[in-house]
Amino acid sequence: MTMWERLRNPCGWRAGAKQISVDAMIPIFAVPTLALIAAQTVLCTVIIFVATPILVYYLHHNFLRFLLRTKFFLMWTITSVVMLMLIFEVNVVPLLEILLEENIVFIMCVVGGIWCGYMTRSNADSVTQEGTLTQGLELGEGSGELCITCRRRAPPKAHHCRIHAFLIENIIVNGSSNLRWYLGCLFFSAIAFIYGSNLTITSVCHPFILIGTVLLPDDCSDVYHQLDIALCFISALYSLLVGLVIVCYLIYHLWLIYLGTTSNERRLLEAGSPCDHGMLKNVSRLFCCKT
Amino acid sequence: MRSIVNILKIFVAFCYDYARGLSYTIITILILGYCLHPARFPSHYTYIKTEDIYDEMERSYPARDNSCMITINPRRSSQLLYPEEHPREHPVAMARRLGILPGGQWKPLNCHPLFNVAIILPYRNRQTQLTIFMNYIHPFLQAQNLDYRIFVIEQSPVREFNRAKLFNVGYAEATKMNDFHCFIFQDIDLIPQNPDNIYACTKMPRHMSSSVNTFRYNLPYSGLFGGAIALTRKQFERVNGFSNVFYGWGGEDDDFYSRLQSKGLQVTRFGPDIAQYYMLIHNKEPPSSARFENLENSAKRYDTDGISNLEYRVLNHQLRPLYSWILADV
Repeated sequence: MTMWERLRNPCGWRAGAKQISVDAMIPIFAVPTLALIAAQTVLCTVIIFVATPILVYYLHHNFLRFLLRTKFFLMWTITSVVMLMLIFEVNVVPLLEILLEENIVFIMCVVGGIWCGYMTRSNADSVTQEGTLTQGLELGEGSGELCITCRRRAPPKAHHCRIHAFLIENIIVNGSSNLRWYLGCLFFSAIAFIYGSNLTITSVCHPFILIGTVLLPDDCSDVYHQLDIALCFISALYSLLVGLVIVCYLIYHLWLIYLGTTSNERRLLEAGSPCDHGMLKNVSRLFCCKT
Repeated sequence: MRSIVNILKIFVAFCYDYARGLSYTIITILILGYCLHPARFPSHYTYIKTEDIYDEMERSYPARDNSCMITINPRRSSQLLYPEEHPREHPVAMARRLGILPGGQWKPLNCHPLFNVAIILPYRNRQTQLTIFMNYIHPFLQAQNLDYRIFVIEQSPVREFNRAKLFNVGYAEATKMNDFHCFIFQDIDLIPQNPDNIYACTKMPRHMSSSVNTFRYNLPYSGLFGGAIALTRKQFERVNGFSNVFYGWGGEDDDFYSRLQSKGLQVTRFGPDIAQYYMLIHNKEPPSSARFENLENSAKRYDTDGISNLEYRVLNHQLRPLYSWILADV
């Protein structure tokens, strides 16, 4: 491994350099560029926020889904999180309006979310790699089927979870510790996104206190006068939207657990799940014991 | 020699093996250290406790049997007041209803007031804010049983806005009319939200707007002394008033703070549960570029630049129903 290769891909310090594919490189440039364009005027913001999901869907529908295990969505997530954190710490905090305690809570939620997300991924990887063995132990049935979405060998009662905006592109195994990490990731990232969004938007906008406790903005008319303030505003909007989507997913998954099924099963067979043990037992099975 | 090389080799190998972990740890610590550095955040400031407020107030008149009561009720801090954004009442009708004398004067009739206050507002070209402010502030001040008068000092349209000099003009003009004991220098866009925020002087100069909504109700830095401040006449004269040289936005409040510091006057504040302010919405002005220059050599001008060398011309003055209006050329 030459130095050049290492530089080209610092993650390959041990594993050796890997070529980063083009589809994974797109978000690194696209996300900051889109943010900068959106920060120009109100109209730009509206256009970008409407056009980006359509564009990404188009890209996915026409190109990405033909690639084997594309890293596009993962890179989009990482770039977005890094960008939002940078804007928050470098732009919003120096406005001297956010307390140290608030920042500590925020950073803890971010770290918690990232940690849980990382654990979900690594668990998913280990589960798929150890494939049959794990299944045999945990579920006691035959070999896994090929996942249609990512073409990996997945154990039964696992499903592929594609969340387009923030994208923990992943395999979720119900009943295993993986789902717990996944839900933890959703929970922490939802708090981090919404809380961070609220902190930012009340810093750059004109706030008022709702019922003596919560600060909310009531006038954001002058955010576009300065580019850095506009960027803060855009990042707040973006993280609010992402946060709301995550909350929806969280509720959806909790509801599925409540019903005792996974979303793939729900899609495939509308009838009752074979693993239904009753609502309470399903919930307790997830959080208390593995078997 | 060889052993040293061996040890070096082992050391390098060790570093190489753990380089990744080590560099990650160092980077993490550095990033966290930067993100959580206390200097990057607003400070929790020391303030007068709610129960001590009454004792810390500097009374203008000695307390008598029928002196007005000031009631401070910390429980009601959750109910913040908001101004009416579109006041409809005509100033004359309002003055008649509230018993305000021409020129924005009022004092309680059924008890002896404890505080005698002149409120000085610098002004230029903010008609809607002035209306909102006047509509809000009179009932607010009357509820505190103050003997007060409101002065609006408007700057003639030639030069850049000089907030600090307008305060000096306000002080000079107010002193001509009456022997005011306490002065409150306030921006017109700041609305006090808490009725417990007594609009009178404390024993030390007080920074009143320590908890403004546009700063998320935090105090950005402990040296901030802008917005709304309250000083007794003695304190104001001791520091020679504001500096006259700060044309354009910014700097004059920091300069005034250093003047107070140089005379050994400590700044006090009320707590964040008392001193809430609501800033009316307006466009921000670009900061003046000369303010750093003026701030740098401010210490030399403490005694020569201020109310001692104040020069201005009153172009016009009127006793309007809700305030005394003075148009000055500064």
